[in-house]
Amino acid sequence: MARGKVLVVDDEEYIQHILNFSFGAEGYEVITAADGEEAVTVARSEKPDIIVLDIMMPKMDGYEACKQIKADPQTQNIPVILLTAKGREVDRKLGAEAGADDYVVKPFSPGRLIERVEGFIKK
Amino acid sequence: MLDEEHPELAQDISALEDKAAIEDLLANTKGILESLDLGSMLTRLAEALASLIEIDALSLKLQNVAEEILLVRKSGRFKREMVYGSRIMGEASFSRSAMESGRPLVVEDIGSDTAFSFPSYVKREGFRSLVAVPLLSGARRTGLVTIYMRKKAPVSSQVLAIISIVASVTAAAVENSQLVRQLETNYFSTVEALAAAIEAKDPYTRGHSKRVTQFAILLAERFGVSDVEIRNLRYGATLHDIGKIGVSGKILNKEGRLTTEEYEAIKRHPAIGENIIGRVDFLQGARPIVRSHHERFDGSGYPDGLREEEIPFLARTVAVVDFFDALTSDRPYRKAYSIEQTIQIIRGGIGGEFDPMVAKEFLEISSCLTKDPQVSELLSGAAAPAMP
Repeated sequence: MARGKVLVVDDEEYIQHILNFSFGAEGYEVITAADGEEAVTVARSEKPDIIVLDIMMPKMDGYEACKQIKADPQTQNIPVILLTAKGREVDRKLGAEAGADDYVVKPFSPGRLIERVEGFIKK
Repeated sequence: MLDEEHPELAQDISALEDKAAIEDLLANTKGILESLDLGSMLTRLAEALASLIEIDALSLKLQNVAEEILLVRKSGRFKREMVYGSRIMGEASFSRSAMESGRPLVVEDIGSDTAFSFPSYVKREGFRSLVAVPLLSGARRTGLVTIYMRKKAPVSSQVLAIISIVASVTAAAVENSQLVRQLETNYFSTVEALAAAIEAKDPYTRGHSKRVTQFAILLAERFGVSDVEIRNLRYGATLHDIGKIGVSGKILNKEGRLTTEEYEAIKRHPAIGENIIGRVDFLQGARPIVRSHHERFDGSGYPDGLREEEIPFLARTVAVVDFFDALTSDRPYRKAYSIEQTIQIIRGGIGGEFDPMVAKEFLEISSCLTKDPQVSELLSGAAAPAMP
């Protein structure tokens, strides 16, 4: 039995691999999406326990995807962690406005990210 | 500052009888300002506070940060736990109210209070009363310190005075640590810009330093290296090829075979790179990585021909990851190798080119990179035999 289902949304394949491996090794089930649109659809159909969402993506960026996930009653209670390459105040603010629960700056430490995810899943 | 904000309280402090405890508090307060790890500094502070007034828990919640640090007193000692917020901005209404007013908020009887909502741990821990003090930094409110008491007792002006001191010191420390973090972010952005400059010269390597950095962190973490080392790795891996700035673009992008002279020119890039970053204070820890990322485990690498343990550990991790990313990318003189082929080549280089311990760990990680079940079976088999 998996410890939880994590939806990883990133258009960069190597990040998907890294997270797939790190979460997989900790006993999580990992599903992936490559852009914001797909993230919103997969969040609805798969009901993950938590979503790790990159900000810079084609089609629909992470802020917009986060807003839509948080606006949909079916998915609004799923915690969302944003992955940002910027880490500046303004991005945090945008993230907060989009309803994100937390954010992690790239390049990130997989160990730290897992700790954060565990914090949300334990709740 | 205290006198201006709470003139009526200043006198109460002098009424405190336990001089030693106050000295203790002051000593710990000084420690706070010097510390950047908010969690450990708060623990020290809570312990000092508890010797003066009866508090059972202390929490720190920063603006825009989802988690909250909660210190709960269990049999005399403060145990630290992280509380994960539901939203970056959304919180229990008592803290929102205190933040909005910018003034201390006292709830003397949580049980009978109907005006506010409280975090779930309040009920779980049986806290009866609280004092919340916003952290002010100029006009900005940067966070909130809350103390909790299990006993329902009127909150004395003495308690208020002390928590106000704690809050103003904590506010300064928070400011300090955020400045340092901001500085770190700016440093890293600069470093990334430098790395992008090298990649602009050699379009085939676009994204290379980012991928190498992220994979190298993953790999190094599997060996439990410290936060300081991870930081050095972040800088070192991002800049590992910075010395290519000193190598002619004609050589870097040459399509045919390199002459001996051209190869010698390329081999100079680690030393050039180390030289470039050697002048920068915050990059000192990254120097060995940049210099030694082309050393080989058997001593046949460059620039120094180091072998085995002589090669810095982080440079050994970057060597494997760098090799992997280089082979799986197109080059002017060849097409990319497949992941499966590259993995086989790394297996073949264990103990020769690559550190066996590091390479085996990398192979285990990379089993997730391939969808080919035969290869992933091979890989999990590769990690199994004991090391010689």
